[in-house]
Amino acid sequence: MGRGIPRKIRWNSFAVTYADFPKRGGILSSLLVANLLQVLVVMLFSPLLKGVTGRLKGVVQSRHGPSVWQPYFDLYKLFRKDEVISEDASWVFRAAPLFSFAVPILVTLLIPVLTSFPLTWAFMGDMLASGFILALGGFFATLAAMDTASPYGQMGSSRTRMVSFLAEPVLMCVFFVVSLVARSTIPYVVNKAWYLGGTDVIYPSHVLVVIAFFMVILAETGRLPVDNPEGHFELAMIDESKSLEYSGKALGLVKWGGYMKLFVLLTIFMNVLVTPWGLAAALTPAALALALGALWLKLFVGACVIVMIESSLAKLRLFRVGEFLGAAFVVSLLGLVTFFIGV
Amino acid sequence: MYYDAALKILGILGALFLLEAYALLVARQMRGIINLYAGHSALLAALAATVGYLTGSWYLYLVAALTVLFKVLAIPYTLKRVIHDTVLEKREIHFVFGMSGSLLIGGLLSLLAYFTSTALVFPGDTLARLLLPVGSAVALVGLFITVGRLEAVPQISGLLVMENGIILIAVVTAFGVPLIVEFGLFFDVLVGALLLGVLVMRLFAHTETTAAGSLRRLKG
Repeated sequence: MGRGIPRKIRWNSFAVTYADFPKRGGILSSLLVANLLQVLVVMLFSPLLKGVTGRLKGVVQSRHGPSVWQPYFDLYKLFRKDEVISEDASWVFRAAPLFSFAVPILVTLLIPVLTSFPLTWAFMGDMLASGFILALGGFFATLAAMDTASPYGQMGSSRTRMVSFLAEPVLMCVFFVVSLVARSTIPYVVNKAWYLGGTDVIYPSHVLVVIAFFMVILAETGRLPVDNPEGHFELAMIDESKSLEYSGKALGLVKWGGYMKLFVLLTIFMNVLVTPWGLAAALTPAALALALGALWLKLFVGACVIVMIESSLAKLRLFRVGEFLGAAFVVSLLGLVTFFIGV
Repeated sequence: MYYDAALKILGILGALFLLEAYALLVARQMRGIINLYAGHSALLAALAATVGYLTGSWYLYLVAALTVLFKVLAIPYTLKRVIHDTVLEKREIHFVFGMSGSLLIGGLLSLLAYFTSTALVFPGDTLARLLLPVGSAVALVGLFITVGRLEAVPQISGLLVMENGIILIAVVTAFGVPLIVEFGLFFDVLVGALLLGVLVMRLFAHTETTAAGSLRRLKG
């Protein structure tokens, strides 16, 4: 029994050369098309994820629940409606929905949604950049909520800031552990490292980091132990109150951005951290369709876990959110420590 | 190949074992604490069985079976029977160091455990390197539970968690202790838990509270 646990996986150098890329219809353009296809997938399917979550929740609570297409109906309705904007609102108020819509799309360009090889903009930013880009959307949503001087908006936005501030260190710690194992923070490279490592990469620190990251996802997307996504009581809302002043198309954009944010975060969680398998290795329609199916399977599992948590936990009091995220931080810190000790 | 897989499973079980000790550090519901302790002991049994498989000592399977019998089933059952529902329904709101403070101190304790116990490991002993830090961290966290919580039931759980950590240390360093000692240990813990449960009820009958941490003030 001389062999110990390998401290780091033997990481094959992941040198990206253009020779590795499939040559169909010009190197750059096919990658570009695939990259835009990923964006399209995220845009089209993110409301479905929301719908599936809502329906599953209904089934768990032994009622019929809304149709899985309900978010699409909502968006269709909102995009046909007129907007009402306060006279005193500045450009920030008008720009914020665009930001919260564009930000998840930007992140989509950086992460592996369908393909396991890096696409055109894969090296534009890493996972930390994704985190900060997502924070930019939150920043503008907060500014917009303060812009109209509605008391509920300000209250909600300051609460959202609090949750985000507390989630930030956990996110950083998680990414540090991931980057230590994979020697990179580029999502594609991390995915490849886990994939090549096979079961070798399932360390204690990996388990701890996965738990911590999942807790952060719950907090960042306004899910139940932190915030009730279905609650419409103004004094208790955290995430929803930012969009209280919006109506019509702007509200549609904000809502769609929220759906995409959940989709993107869950995709990073599944494709990069938990199940790096089942991504397309080539740019053929069959492989992409298979990857889409695999992605849905993974997201469905993720949605089931979220629904289980949402149906069994009560919402935390606001001042216990800090304790929840503090626990997440300690978990991720333990992950970091166990990595360095070499367990 | 099986050896590597077993080590991997041990690593994950060890991480969960430590994590559950942290959950016990901050859990509020009394009944939940007892259930968490049962889960913690189940993880200990799994760890002992895996170490037994890894080292080929059949003996540790027996330890695992006894752990399931006594710690997963008997002790939680006894505690739930002895301590009344009125006490078990309670929640502990105030910790000595607050919840975040407790978690941070617990994290520092596990750091301490890691740095001290990795120095004790014989070079090349992968198993001990993997689990000795976990065992001593759990023992320290258990000790801290008895210090950092005011209610009696969590304090009992702290003692029991500390004992779990020590059993893990015994399992990974010496592959268990002689069977007769093992039996004595298990009965000792069972009777200890029973007695502590009775004492909690005596305390409750006398002072109508189980906040053992504030007894100094209650003395009057």
